[in-house]
Amino acid sequence: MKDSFKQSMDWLHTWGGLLFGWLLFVIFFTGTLTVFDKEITYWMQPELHHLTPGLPDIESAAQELARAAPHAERWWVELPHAREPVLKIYWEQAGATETRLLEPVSAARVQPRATQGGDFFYRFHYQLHLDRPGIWIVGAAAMVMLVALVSGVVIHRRIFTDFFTFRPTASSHRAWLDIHNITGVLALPFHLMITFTGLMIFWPIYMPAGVDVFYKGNEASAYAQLEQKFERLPANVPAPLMPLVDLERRAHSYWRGGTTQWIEVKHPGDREALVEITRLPDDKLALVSDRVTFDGATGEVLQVWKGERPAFLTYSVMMGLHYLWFDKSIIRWLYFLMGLSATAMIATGLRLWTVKRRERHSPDGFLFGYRLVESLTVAVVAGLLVAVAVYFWANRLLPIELANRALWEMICFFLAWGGCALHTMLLKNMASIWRQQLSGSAALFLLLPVLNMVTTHTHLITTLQKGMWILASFDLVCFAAGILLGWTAWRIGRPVEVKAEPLGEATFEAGQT
Amino acid sequence: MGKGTQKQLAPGHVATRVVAAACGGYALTYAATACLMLLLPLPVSEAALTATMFSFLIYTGAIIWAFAAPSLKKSWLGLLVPAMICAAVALPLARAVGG
Repeated sequence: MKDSFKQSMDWLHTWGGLLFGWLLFVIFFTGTLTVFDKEITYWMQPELHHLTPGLPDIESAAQELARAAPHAERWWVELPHAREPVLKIYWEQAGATETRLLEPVSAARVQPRATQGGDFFYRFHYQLHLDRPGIWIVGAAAMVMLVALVSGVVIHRRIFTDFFTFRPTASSHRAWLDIHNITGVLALPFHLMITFTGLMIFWPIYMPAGVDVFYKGNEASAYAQLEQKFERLPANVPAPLMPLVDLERRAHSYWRGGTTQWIEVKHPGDREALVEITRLPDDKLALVSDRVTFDGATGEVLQVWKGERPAFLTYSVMMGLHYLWFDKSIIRWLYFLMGLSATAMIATGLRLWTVKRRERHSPDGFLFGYRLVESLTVAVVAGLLVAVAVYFWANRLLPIELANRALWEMICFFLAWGGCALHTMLLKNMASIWRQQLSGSAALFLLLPVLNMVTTHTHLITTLQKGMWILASFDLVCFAAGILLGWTAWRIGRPVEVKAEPLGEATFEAGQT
Repeated sequence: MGKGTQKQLAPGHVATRVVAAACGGYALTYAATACLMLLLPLPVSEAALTATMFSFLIYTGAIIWAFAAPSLKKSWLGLLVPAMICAAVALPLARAVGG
């Protein structure tokens, strides 16, 4: 397209990066938050903070299910684990699924405040809260991200020398370019892996050739053959269900250690009932975990399944690398930091686009198009940070009994974001807008642990004393975020002496050999 | 570097490349993936997954080709000709499988 391969890749990287950068920033930031989605949900439900870990009472959970939904088609029991201390039961009846939360040891019902919790960020991340069309949009963005990463490597051939280059006092554009390069190169394997594995998760939607060619386009039958779940129709003959706690214990004899994640009962109370026990995949990379299926009425073992076929195992590990059910704290924190690095790479790339062009033109000749790009960048980047903080504030401040409370938390988020977007249209000075919105988000994050002290009993002082590390970490990360954002706002506020660069040098920067 | 002014791009040129990359690239990827999974000597579900893993790499390469190709003609032909060859191989095989 251009005179050389490198120049074409530079063009592709710049324009693909710009047009999809705002979307990718949102996807990567919400994705980074999703690394700790269960911890966020836990922080957002103070009513669960008193739960103590202990051996879950599976039999009481089964009795609760028999009371609540004796004629359901399916039951589920989700056992508590380190990241989620509550016992959950689900049932499916007449096409609808219901959930109840129970205390693990006593199986007494708990009803925390209605909230989407960390799932709000999870759903934002993979579908932008737009269901299937949203999955398509995120997929397109992910493909552009892959292309941007590959083209970025092509144009950045001096990849190792430049890794150690940071010129904060050179020109604004060089400083931003250096940060963009460092955050990109520092965790480049992570960025490539997370983008690729993300695409692979929704392969039947993005690249349905496999489903079309072999399964006549039927996704369900494709997954049936992949997961090889034991299924059979109900006999409509009643028969008592074997005690689930015994079956769960027997399942362990087929696994090497580990704990149970799910107990699923298909056609409970029927002669053809099935009980499927799934192992918690918190110590392996493969996401699709080992399973034992029992006959629900007789207790006979019908299937012992491990996803060990080579391509399936590879796919399962790819999903595991993305979802990270593998639960080692240090890895989870590394994912969080690398996710922030990717998010920073995208944000600095967007900033770089504007800064580079502003240096080429006189301040008077700053075109409307550039102003639009910069406004969008502030609104998306700083606005999203403000909105996330507001979401957490709303969780603590909205009345517990409010109807559609979870929806209202979401509305507060989007109102805050919309407000920031409007704010970008009010002022002329872009630096002021950046400074004000970043300071706003800094203040909201810094004060969140204080708000926590006023609104709950499990605030930072208590959680540090009692060693409740999940909750303490949340408040501490908010402090750290507030400080970092505040520093950034202060840094942007300082007048920077911009050394105007001749056009030729800027071109050299882009097309360097 | 002495390059002088950057080569100016007509908007039509850019739009054509974008369509080539997005649509032509997808057509090539779909055809190549179908072809690959029908040719791989693996059980059905294994072949489907393996080929699909490569598909995202193929699509990335196709998009890069669409923009890197020296001319618009090469950009399109470089995508459509391999796509048609793969489709020609894959269609009879797919019919035999019953897909």
